[in-house]
Amino acid sequence: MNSEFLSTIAIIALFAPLAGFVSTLLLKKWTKNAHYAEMFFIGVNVVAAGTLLVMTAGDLHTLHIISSFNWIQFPGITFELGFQFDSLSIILLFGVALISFLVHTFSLQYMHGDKRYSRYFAYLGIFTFSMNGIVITNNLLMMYIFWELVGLSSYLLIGFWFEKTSASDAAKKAFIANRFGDFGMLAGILLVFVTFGTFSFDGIKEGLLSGILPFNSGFWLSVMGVLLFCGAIGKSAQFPLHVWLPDAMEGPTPVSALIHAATMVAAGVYMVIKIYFLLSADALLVIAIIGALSALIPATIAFTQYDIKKVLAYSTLSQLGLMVMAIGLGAFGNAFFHLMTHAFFKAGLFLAAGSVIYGMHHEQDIRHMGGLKKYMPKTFLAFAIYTLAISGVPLTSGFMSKDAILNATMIYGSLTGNWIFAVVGFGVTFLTAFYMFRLLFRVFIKGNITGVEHHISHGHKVHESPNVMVVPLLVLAALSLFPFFSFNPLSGENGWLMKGMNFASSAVPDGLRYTFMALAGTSVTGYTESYFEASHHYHYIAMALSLLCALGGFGLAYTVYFKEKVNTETYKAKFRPVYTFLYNKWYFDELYEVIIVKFTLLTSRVLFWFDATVVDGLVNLTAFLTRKVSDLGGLFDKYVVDGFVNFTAMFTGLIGLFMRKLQTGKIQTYVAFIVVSIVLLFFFYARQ
Amino acid sequence: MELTQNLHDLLSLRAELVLTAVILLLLGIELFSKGNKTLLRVVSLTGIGVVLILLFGESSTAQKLFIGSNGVPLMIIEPLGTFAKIIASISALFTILFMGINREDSTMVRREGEFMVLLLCTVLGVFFLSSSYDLILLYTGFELLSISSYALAGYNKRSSQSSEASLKYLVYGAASSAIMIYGISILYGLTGTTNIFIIQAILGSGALSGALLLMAIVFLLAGIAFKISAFPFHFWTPDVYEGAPTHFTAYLSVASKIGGFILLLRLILDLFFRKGFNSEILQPVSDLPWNDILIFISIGSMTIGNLVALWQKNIKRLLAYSSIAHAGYLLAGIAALNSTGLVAVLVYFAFYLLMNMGAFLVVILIKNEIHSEMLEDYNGIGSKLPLYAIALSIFLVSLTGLPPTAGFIGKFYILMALVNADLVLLAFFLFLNSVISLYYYVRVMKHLFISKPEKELGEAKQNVYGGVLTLVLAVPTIIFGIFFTPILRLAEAALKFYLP
Repeated sequence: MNSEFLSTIAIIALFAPLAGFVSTLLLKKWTKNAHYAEMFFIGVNVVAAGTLLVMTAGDLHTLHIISSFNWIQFPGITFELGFQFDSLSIILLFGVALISFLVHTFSLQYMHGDKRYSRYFAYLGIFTFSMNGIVITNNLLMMYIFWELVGLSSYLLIGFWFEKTSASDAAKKAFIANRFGDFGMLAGILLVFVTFGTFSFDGIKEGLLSGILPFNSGFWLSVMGVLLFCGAIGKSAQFPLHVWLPDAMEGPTPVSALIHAATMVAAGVYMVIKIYFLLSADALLVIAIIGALSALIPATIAFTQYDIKKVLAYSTLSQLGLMVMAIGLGAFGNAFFHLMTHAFFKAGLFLAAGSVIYGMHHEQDIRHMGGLKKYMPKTFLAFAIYTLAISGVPLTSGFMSKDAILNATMIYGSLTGNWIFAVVGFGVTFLTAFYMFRLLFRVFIKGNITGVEHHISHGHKVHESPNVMVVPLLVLAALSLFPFFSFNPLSGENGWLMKGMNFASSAVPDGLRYTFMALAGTSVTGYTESYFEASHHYHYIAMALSLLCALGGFGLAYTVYFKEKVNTETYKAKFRPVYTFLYNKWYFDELYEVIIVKFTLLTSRVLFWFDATVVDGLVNLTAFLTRKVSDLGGLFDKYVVDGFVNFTAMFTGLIGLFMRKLQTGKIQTYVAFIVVSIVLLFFFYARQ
Repeated sequence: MELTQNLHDLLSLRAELVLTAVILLLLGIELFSKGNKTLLRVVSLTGIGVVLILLFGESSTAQKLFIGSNGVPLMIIEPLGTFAKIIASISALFTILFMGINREDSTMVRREGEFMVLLLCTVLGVFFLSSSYDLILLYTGFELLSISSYALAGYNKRSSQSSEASLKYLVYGAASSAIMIYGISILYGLTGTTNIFIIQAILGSGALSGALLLMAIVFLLAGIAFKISAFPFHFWTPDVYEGAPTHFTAYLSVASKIGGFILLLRLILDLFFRKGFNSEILQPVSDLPWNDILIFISIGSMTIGNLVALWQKNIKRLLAYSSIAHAGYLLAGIAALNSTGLVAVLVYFAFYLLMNMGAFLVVILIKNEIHSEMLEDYNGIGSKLPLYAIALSIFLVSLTGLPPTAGFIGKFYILMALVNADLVLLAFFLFLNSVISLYYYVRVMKHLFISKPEKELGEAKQNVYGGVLTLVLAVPTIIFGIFFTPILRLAEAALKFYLP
């Protein structure tokens, strides 16, 4: 494969959205149609990324091309920038470009009439650029740069309607929560550089394989892994920094589809997959636990929420948790598979929600929705397919990828005897099916039908969205079906994506790995034989169990929200404390309020008291004594100290003023100066 | 045999020959086509383009020319000289482009041919300065550069200020070069030759030392310091910069300076110092206080330049003093007398070309709109001519040496060289001066963006040609602040025959 050609196309793909950002901002002054520049460039991005994928499709599973150059060179230190072409980067680059393109298209109509219309598209452009940078890089430094750029551009997009206090607050919250994570990541990156003297993934791997460990200790290797993972906790909204994502729903809905489904939150998962080779067993276990918590907690919150976007937000958190958990269990390939399938159907879900909100005239509360299938049949169709996919129903992409993750939890359970992750995985599957079908039933089939009819009878039209919005929905719905990932609907393992995965084996010293990971150099795939045996053994069991769970969730939702046999209110009343606890999102926001905000306030109050009584008292006493003395001192101050300060400031100026006087403008003086200078120079140095 | 060899050598001076041909062609066009403006511009710009292509083509070759009976060459084409030639050619290119938009004097348009011919003569002067290895030939190049410049400074005939500038420049220049040729004659008297290689050999043998040699060096430095407008030979600078047509001021601040610097580098690398580096450090051939003299001139230039700039109300005078200060920064890099320092000087010069040319360009563009160079008239330009104002701010920030601009990288490398050479005092002064300079550069920005205009700015508007030219200079100023390795490589390549 010609690496120069690849890099040229990659450069086009990377910078096209940036060109879109710049040209849209520049053209915005002259024309109302500046956003077409961004549309054009995002098209270029899709084509370039697509070309990369097609060109390399044949040998994805072995592809590993680095193309880099020295960015800054100081004696002894070199900073590199560059691209890494492998299956992960090329597939995700195309995925990001495609979804971004669809979101752009959808926004043409959705954002129509907004007073900052062009600016919105420009922001989408810079966001896509930043995301591309994270995906294509070959080193942590460049990744961190683009990481922060993503943080910035998502801040701009979440707070796009900054006149709304809630929107600008949400933007700030997202930004700050991400800083917490990024701080850890930066520390990790510095630790990497101190240890290995390089930022590049290949360099780190080489170092690890040659036996270099941070501070020569396995413990610090685990610390390094966890620190880097902190970045993912922030970006991918993992427990305990997950609080920003639901609030970020204040941004425009297509933005939620782009950022909070397919790209920004995927960046964290992607980064952990990239650094997988340096994660020790301990670090992986931490990651698995964080992932499990992030999968479980939001799933329990999701079915108590009434805002259609909030439900989807919590569902995103939960799915991301599943992916992170899978990485922690050593199944990073399966995690990446789920990342890709999830990106499509979750982006679709958000866009469909956007379509509903658009059709209902900016109504987001599902208590005011019902029976919308009649009015928005195409949106309903798409939404139903996404729901099937996310719930893990056969014939969808989600079924294959979720099954792969569940299979991995069972393998892990059987090999280590720790079944808790499997339990979490299946529990989450059940909850996902339940809250997603709850949403489907309440919004499109049953729900508050009378309310909607009442609404219509008052002259408010509820309508299907125009084609420019519906087509992206249908495209994404098609992409949520199995044939795009594998021709065997029961097994994603045989699909092109999983086959094309480049299984980079771990570079961690043997003693620090999971036992089921092969010894260094004994296996191409990085796993022992027993792992694959277990994988075959549990494949169908996992599938059956996951189907059962999904069916259970569906059944419960069907009974409650379709048949409406159960009065939810009585159960709410019965389990009031639990319900309130879940409804209030486990009180995380309040907890942080207490810990961070209140604690800061309390500290400041204590300090204030100390200040007011003790310090002030002392000060007053001293002041009284001093006052007498200071009458004298004042004079000193006024004439000597102030004088000195002013003098220093004036002095510089005065010298200049004096020097300026030499510039007489008379040529005679100038020539005289020449002579004087020459003589002075000569005698000054001749003296020695 | 010798004749054919010489002819052959002459043909190797391709860039010089093309440049001379262009000068003659321009003279012809001026005479016979009654100064057809388009033709003149096309010919001059293509001519410089061809010269630049030739220069880039030979940017890594080294060739001795006109080898005499004593076995030493009269001229050498080598990368460092080529680097200087490229800088001079590029600034000439920009100057001709700037000329097209300068509307200071309506009669200037009619006399464009004249301007171009003289301008290219100065370029030719720099070319000879860059590749001559004989003091007489060097002096000829020096004078070609100077005399054409005197005429160009007074090119704006209707303005008495311009004529005054020209006359002052002439008198001052004549005095300086008289002193310089006196220095050359002393050297000749001491060694009996004007060839740099032979003088170096004689000095290297330790046969000479003492007051006369010192006198020769001080006299030579007087000429160089005049060219690069360094303290204490800087007095002409503000008057000439202010009076000359602004596009020529821009040229003067860059091309004339590179002429002086290449002469200084030539004297240091090939005449007064031992060949090559001894563990990264240059050794003088006889124990002369090179370090002290250079440091003295450097500190003097930057301090005087910056302190007096604080008081300037005219942007061109302000930039003139800033240019004096920059001569100081560049000299600091040379004073380090180590390889890092020399590379740093070349890097800085490449960036200096961008930012200084850019700053003067914006001065021209703004003057076209508001007919003033006074800072108080710049009030409110920021909202009226945003592109110009932002570009000027970029150039000024770069001149201050703040990230993320090219100027920061240049200054950083010079500072690093000084620290490597243990010249902490000089490094401290450089840092202190940067802080002082920040004050007056930012003051310009205050006028541009914060101060309210006293009167309406009227019909001021930006034009496309000016905007594009500004961007051509401003965008690289930022880009090189982030990604500068290519320029660093270029500078290292230019010094490849000298670096250890």
